[in-house]
Amino acid sequence: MSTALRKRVASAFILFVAVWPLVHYGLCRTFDINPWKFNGFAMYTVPVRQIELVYVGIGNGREERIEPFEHPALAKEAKRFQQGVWTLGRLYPPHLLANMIFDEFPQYDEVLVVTGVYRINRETKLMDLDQRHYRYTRPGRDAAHPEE
Amino acid sequence: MFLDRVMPRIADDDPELRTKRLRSFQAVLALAVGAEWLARSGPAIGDLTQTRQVLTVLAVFLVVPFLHRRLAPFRGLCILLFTFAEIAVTFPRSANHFWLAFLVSIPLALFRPDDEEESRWALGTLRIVFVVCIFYTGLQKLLHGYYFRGEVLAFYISQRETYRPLFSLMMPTSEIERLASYSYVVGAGPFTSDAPLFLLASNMSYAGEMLLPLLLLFRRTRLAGFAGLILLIVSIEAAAREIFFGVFFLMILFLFAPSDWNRKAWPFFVAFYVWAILNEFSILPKVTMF
Repeated sequence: MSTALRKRVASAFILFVAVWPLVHYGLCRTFDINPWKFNGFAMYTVPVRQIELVYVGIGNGREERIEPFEHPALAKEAKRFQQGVWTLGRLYPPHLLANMIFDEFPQYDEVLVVTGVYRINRETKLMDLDQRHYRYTRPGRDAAHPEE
Repeated sequence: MFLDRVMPRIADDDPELRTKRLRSFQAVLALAVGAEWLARSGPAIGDLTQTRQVLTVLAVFLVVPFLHRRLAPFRGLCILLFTFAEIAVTFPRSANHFWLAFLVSIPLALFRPDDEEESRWALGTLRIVFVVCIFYTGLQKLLHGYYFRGEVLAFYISQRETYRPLFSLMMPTSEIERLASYSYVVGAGPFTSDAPLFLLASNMSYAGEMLLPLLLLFRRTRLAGFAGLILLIVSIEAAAREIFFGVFFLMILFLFAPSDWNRKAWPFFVAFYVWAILNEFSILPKVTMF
């Protein structure tokens, strides 16, 4: 490789290093990715991320909590989803996990997944839980798409 | 090219010193990435995935390109491949300094340290990457907006005991006790304090991270920026105690030192990593490293 080509590669690399943190910030604001991750130089900008996940199955007018880690068929994807929410935020929605819950529990017509991220409220400075609801209807019964 | 004009100003050492700096940095970087992986993963090697086990063994072999001069051209490449593998096996949770190690190994793999023009570009690129990195750590704090009233620092005082001794110099004991009483539950807080010194420290942290690296860019102000950043890393380590990161940060910062400080500090770095490995293997009394 010639020196000139090496210089061009280095120039592109420097440009990437200079621009990526701004893209990273945009991803944090838009999709709630974890500021601590993905090399955005944004460590210690927010408290270390703590999340809370709730899974609810709805069938015959009853709501029941689901513990996916207790079901071997779901545990792997549940762990993936947990990691996904922690790192990628809204870029990792629970679509696949919801479908797997429908397969595992034929009695449910709907599945509700609630993701919560702990944050310090900007106004009150108190700890807050920022929740997002994903509601799924069993495929083939009316709406097959998630409602947020 | 714009950078052709910039590089001689940023990497303005004489060619011999540039080559020395780059060679020493290669050595300390290989030591840092290899020894840290060994310290973090070695004690639990039996429980690791096969990929991580292989990487733990490869960490030891990072020393090989340094055993003979003929292998010198492969040093940068080996470090680059190893740091890439670190990120690949830990993705998406990869530690931030794994990323930084990967970034700084790119110019080392790309350029030949003993070529006059390429060594200028290698050192210049390394210095620019470091300046950009520190500048953004400050800018990101400003943009995310949790430092104006000290929210993030208040949170860490509440959650980590290591923060309390340093900040007890800046706020009344009653404030430290109040923050320490909060747990990670909804409604806990407020995570802030009116203590003027605390608010000053919080706002100075992002301001310092944005201003000090810019001083490194110019020969006249470089020493001031260098000294300021040493002070910054000492104060960060006094609270956060991320010792692996702190030592790694020093290695990159030493690229701006008046002479080849990485070579001078080599015995210290070796002693530190030997201690770190013994510490993580619980051969010495346990100290939190990260």
